Amino acid sequence: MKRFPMKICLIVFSLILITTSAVIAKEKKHIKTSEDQECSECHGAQMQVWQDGKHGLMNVKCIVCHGSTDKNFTPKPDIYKCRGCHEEKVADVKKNLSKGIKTCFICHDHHSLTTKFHAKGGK
Amino acid sequence: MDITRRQLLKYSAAIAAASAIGLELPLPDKVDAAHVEKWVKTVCRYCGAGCGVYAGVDKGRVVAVKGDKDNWNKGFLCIKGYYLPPILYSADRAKYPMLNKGGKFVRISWKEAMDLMTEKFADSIKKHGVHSVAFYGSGQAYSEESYFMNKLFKGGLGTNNIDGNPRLCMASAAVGYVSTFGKDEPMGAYDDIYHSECFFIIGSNMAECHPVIFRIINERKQKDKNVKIIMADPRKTLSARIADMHMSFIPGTDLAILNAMAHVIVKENLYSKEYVNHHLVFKTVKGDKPAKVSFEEYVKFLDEYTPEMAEKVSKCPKDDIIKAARWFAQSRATMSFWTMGLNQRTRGVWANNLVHNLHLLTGQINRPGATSFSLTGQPNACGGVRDTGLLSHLLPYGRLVANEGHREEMEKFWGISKGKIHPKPGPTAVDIFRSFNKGDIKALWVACTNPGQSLPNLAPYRKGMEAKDTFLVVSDTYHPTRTTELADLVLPAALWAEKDGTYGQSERRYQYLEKAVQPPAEARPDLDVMLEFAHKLFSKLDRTDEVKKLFNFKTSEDVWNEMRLASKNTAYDFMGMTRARMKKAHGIQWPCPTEDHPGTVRRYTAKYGDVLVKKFDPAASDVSFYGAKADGNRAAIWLRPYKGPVEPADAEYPFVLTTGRQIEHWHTGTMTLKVPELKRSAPNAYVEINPRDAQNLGIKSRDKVKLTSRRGSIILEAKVMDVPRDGLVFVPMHYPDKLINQLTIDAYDAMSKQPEFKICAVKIEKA
Repeated sequence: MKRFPMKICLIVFSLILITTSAVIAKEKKHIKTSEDQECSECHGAQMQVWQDGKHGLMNVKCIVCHGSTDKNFTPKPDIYKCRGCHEEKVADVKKNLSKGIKTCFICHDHHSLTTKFHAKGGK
Repeated sequence: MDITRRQLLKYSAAIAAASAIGLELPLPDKVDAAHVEKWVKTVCRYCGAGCGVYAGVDKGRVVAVKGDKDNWNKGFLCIKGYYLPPILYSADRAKYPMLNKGGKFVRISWKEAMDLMTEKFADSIKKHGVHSVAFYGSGQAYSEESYFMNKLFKGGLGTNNIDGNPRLCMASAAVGYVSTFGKDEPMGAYDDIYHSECFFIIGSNMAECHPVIFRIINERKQKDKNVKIIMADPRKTLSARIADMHMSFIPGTDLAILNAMAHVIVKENLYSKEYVNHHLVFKTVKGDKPAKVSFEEYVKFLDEYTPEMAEKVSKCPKDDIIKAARWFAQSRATMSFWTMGLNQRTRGVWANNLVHNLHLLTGQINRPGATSFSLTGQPNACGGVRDTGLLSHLLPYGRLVANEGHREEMEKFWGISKGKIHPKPGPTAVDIFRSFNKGDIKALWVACTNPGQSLPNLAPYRKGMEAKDTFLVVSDTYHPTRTTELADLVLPAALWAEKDGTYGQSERRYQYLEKAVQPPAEARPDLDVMLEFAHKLFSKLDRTDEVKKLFNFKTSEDVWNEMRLASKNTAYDFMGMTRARMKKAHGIQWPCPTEDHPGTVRRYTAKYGDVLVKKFDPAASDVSFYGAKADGNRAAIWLRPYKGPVEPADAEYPFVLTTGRQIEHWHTGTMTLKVPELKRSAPNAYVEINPRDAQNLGIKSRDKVKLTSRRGSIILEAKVMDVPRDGLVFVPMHYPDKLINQLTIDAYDAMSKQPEFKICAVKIEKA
């Protein structure tokens, strides 16, 4: 039976460990925050953009798209995050996955929600 | 050292697996799972807006949620509705019956629990009479549960010792509607928003408390630049962001403002002569009794309520009052919304009457976009408590305990002997707990509510609930709560999505909630437990032969079918809402008298589809307030003088404390504080204080501050925000570790018995 030197085995095992970690931990953890810290303390600019947009007016707060800083933290939400209120639009996006439109944020700005591409009256 | 290829493969797999286990995997309390086996149609668990929702189920768990796009909310939800699923999977779900043994809760079997409970209730009835037991229900229970308990207590036992927590939130609105229109519940609908040109929103922070309705109003405003929004509130809340005018005033002085608006309308000839001549009566109180007066006497009554007088009393600028009156009267269609700012007051009924007055005086009523709309706090205060008649002065579907004819109708319907229903209304919420404190009520069952946190002037009631010489049973989905911790016996209850039944929300829309998943461990639907309780109790009272006749129900659908029959030929008539129909529909608005009737969007107008106008008032061509038969089918404008709150600010307690909600949380936070995301967004109680007051007191944000009322004190972190007017502070009610109700006052409205949560006097100092 073929035998492998331990040095080579250690390199292989490390590569497996790093790769597995990268694959499974596809979302980063938020830095540790204290309970009373508000998002605006570090993310003031994004919060202002959000506040001036539709989600801000309707109080669709950071936690809806991003989860909690402690649990279920999601820096980049996928389309299923939007399904709660926008089921039909999510279904539309899913139909167009093959055209490369994987998330709502291809067209919509993350926080202001304005569309980037088409002119007034576009679909 | 070398290893073989087989060993290399084995070790590689183990490392990969170990690194996966060591990392945080997706949690079971998801709201956005990609894969869902089935979507189950239901309704949101939270506020009285009553959004349609689908629960996404996979492998026996709710793993996702989405709004019902075919319901009035058009698929939209607020952040609480969005995060419904995790409330089912909290570690402190009540799973087994628990008996309090010397302060320690010990698990017992359901048989032991029900035997003990029925023994205690039966003993009390035998030794001390039927009025020694009581039930305190909830606007969050299903309608079938509330109807059943009402029948058990009022019809079965013959006591009116049954009330519910809507006494704390909606009683003033209910009595307001009845005293003005003859029958309870709004006559309009959310659909009116799409037709309205002027919104008068008073005592309501819709943006945080009814967010999806707020969304529709905003949408209406975006579509039509003629739309005007008036927001009247001593706090400039998030709702004011869309207002064209924010009317600020000293808390509790709004009755002067409302009368002053009527004064302007009359003086500037902006009133509807058609309504004054054909659809209204004018009433006042003379020597404790209602008395009719003329329109001219009403005009004379309004003489003193000039805008100047109202400005002096309320500090609301008179120009704002005049502008509001003109906008209200002259818009093409005006719709009012209000909630606890008017209801939770010792003059709550009067405040409700005065808003209705404005609509009746101007004819801004009974047509699309024109209506006076009371927003409900709980998901089923309307359908479940007000309509089923669970409150201690009511019988089902608009009938009154004090009305002999109504009692006879229900005695006949229930097949019980004449005179069985006790003729005197029972104690209301606060008085039930006062009686429990005194020991006049010896056995009390509390279900689906948290009075150990929500009652005003909380301390004495908590002491009473803890006392050892009475017996307290609490049914809840969680343990501990601030109420279950005081109980003698805790019964674990099934939660939203774990049982089927009906909710009825603010716009008379009854909606069916389908069961989606099983409750955990030994938790049971409340109706199951109530049925068993009734059978066992009656057996202990040697009344087994009556039980089969009175409580011949096997399912919640059986109860629903009896409810439909009880509503037949009343102003609520929903005979047409069969269970099969409700399972398919996205809610139906009553009246709905037949199976082919689509439901009624607007009441009291034949032109806009209320078929009961023809039934109850055949002579009417269009508008008929057919609930007010004694007044010739006319609505009443009430002459209500200005009276302020019972405990305004004074030299010793110079601030007004008001309490309320934040968008993240709902009521006493038993559900929303279990959701990590909602808790992280709003983790703790605080006191909101405006910058000018804060500067005078030397307080900055995050300083610890002590609030003291005549009843208690509390230490909270300050949040300095330009939201409350000078002299006013706000504290959210949600937090079990900060019982703000230890400070609030339990004085209540003489007509509705609803407490004045919104206004009491406090002093503030740095802690």
